[in-house]
Amino acid sequence: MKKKSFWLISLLLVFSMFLAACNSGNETSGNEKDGDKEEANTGEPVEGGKVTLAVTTAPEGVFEAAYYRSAVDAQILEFTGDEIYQVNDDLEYEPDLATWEISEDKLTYTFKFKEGVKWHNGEELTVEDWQFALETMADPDYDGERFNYVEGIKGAKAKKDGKADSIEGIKVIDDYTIAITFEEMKLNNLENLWSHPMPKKHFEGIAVADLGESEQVRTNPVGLGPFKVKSVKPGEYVELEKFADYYKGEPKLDSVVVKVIDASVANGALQNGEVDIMEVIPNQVEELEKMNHITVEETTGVGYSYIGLRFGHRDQEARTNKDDIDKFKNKDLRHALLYAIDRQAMIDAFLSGKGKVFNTVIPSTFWIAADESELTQYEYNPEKAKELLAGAGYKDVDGDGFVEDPDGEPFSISFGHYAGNATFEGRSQAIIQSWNDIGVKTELATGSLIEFNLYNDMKTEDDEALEAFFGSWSTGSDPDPSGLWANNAEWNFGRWVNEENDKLLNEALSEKAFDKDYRKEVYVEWQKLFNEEIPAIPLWENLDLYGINKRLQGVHINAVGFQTNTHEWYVTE
Amino acid sequence: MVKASLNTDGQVLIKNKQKQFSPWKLARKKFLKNKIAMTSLFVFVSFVLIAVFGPLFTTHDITRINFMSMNLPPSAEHWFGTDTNGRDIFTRMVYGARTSLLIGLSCMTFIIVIGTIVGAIAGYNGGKIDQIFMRITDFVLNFPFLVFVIVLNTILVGKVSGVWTLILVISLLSWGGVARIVRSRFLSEKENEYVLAAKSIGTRPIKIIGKHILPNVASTIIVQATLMLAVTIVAEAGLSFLGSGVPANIPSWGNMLFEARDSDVLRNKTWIWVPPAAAITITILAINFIGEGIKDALNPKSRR
Repeated sequence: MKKKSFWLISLLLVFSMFLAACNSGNETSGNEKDGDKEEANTGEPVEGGKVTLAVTTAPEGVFEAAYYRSAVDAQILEFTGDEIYQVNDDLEYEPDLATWEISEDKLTYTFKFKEGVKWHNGEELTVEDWQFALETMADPDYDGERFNYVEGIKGAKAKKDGKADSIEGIKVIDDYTIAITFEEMKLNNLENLWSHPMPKKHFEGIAVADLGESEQVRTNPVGLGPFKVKSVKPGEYVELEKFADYYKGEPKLDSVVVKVIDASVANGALQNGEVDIMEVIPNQVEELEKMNHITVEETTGVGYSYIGLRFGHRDQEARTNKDDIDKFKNKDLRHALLYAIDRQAMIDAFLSGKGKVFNTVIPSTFWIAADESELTQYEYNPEKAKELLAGAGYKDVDGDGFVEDPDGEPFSISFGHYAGNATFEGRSQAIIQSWNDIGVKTELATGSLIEFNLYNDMKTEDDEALEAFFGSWSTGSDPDPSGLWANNAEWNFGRWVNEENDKLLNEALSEKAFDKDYRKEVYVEWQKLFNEEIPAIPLWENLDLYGINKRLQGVHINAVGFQTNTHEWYVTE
Repeated sequence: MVKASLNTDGQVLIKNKQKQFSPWKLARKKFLKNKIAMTSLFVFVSFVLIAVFGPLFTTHDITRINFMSMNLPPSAEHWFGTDTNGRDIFTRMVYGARTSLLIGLSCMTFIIVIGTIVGAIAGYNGGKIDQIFMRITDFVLNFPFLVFVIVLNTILVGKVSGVWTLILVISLLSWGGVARIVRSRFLSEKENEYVLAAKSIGTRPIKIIGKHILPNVASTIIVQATLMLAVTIVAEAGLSFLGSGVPANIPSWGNMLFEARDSDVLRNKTWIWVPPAAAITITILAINFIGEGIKDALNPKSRR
């Protein structure tokens, strides 16, 4: 017995030594390899080459823009597809496959397509391909999720309801010219219009109802982009090869592999060169920055985080929001809650500094973003927070160290946060503690971090436990915030209702707002309103981060992604 | 005369007691001689003492996020360093021991109680009752443990406070094995003459089970109990590591390991995860050695 255990323990110790040794061994050999690479890296472009893009969830394999559901499929479609317009670095819409003119009454847009653009199967792109896409999406049998992108066209709803065979508002003028008429005059008609043509000849003979599941979409897709799908291994990788006839010029790379890896091994994969480029999260950055052959690119993105405050409920039937909860009605209370949080310290602690404090909910990368000087900055100031509370009548009456509301009733906030990343526990704790510190009693809703899907359901259903809740949005390239903050918006989870809010948001989409300066002016007004009201507590805008191996060059990163002009990517070895 | 004979009888009895030890006494003696088991017992008991009394002496706040002292390596002020949220790891270890041991011990108690009751009733009665109880046991044993615990835990969150959710869920899903073992021991034990004797003089079944059979199967149950203690501590650590165990704001060894999911912490900040990992390993080893020792001590055939 005695001997046996002795051996057991010594074995254990010996094994742990091995483990430790393996660990340090790897590190040194890794560094040596970096050194070699540095020397070999002459910076000269090399013909062809293969690049690996890593993703952390598997693609679903729906390679048609009108049908895809997952974000990874969207990334693959960025390689294989091209659009009518593209979004530039300032998040403005620029002509790409076509240019357009707007009629006097601003209802009809006439698009002029480029000539000589080829599909992957050699066919030439004509306006019929786009017409086909729009007609398909308005078809009653269409089972994708994107009818809203054609909804605005005149007669699209009639087709969807089965009252018409084709969309009234589409008029093909010749092979390269098409006119689209909208139902109503709206400023963002173009932004909301479907911009991906569909290969009409390729899809010939397939019923609309079967299209999403067809082989032509799943395994043998045809696109317009610089790369085409070569092979698909579900759950593991998608291999793309270059499309030599790409209309903007032959891609410099031979192929791109989109590979699925687990998030926990991401840094290792970048280190040993298995992966050339991937989107990374802030916790990874510190380690990546130590690797010589990796650059970490960062850019202010279109995502932000905030703390929602609940003002009421949503009537799902009537699709309206009603502010019938009085808890956060006091503006000074809301200001105090914001002053109480040391946002910069939180960014440094939980996002490795990769974030930027902001005081509205418009990320600064948008052209409509208000200048900092026009907004109150709400710098961390717990003393001021306490003063504001006292001034508003929130005082500690019963001596328990926490304030009571102006009527002398106990006051507490139930704050919810979702589970996931290892930093979330600290982050939620930090917020709770900041509020407790100024005397506002705060507890973690349900007592623990909530599973993400459940959390979203709770938000949608106005769960009472979520009086305050952590939220994050990625807004997309359309600057209009109405989808998230308009009075009756479904995603206005705090159910904030304010007359001025809707007035400004509508004004910014009015005919007058076709003048860009005026539109910006209105949005700045809206941001001032938000900044003054603080209907939700703005925390920070996120930085988008990408880890890129130095052998891969020519990557252009902007707020909407890293896949602009992928045909210009090249490798140096 | 009568008095005298009684006296002699009494003396003989006392003499016998001095020469021949009762089985329990023998077992204790054997256990005390087992050095590894004794060392393990010492380690385990000191862990329990630290868990119970440690918090009286610690000064650091275990939940407060401290932006100024994040990721500090071990020093005089922070013996084991601080974690990614700036909290003292040593203090959290002490409180974590509380949570982890509380979960281990309460789960063990629940599991043994439920398992023994079910096993005893099934084994003693046999026949239809046995069939019904054993099918229920099979049913419980068939649940995929981890998946089911995670689901149940998600449903129960917010309805039962803190760690008790987890204790309840683990207990309700783990008594199957114990029930089976107790039943099989009961099946063989009830065929003995002393049970027959008790039955024939009309002793109530509950008394036969409790007073006559149970003491004879106690050794099996005790060994099972130590094993269950180790298993539930590991289960807690595993679940918390996956993020669906103890609520994140309560320190437990498993929750502290959770931070090691970040590869940067795993590779470069070893002081954050080594203490809880070591504590779990040492505790489990100690418990298993104690269990082994008890098994040896209670086994009349073992001469070690």
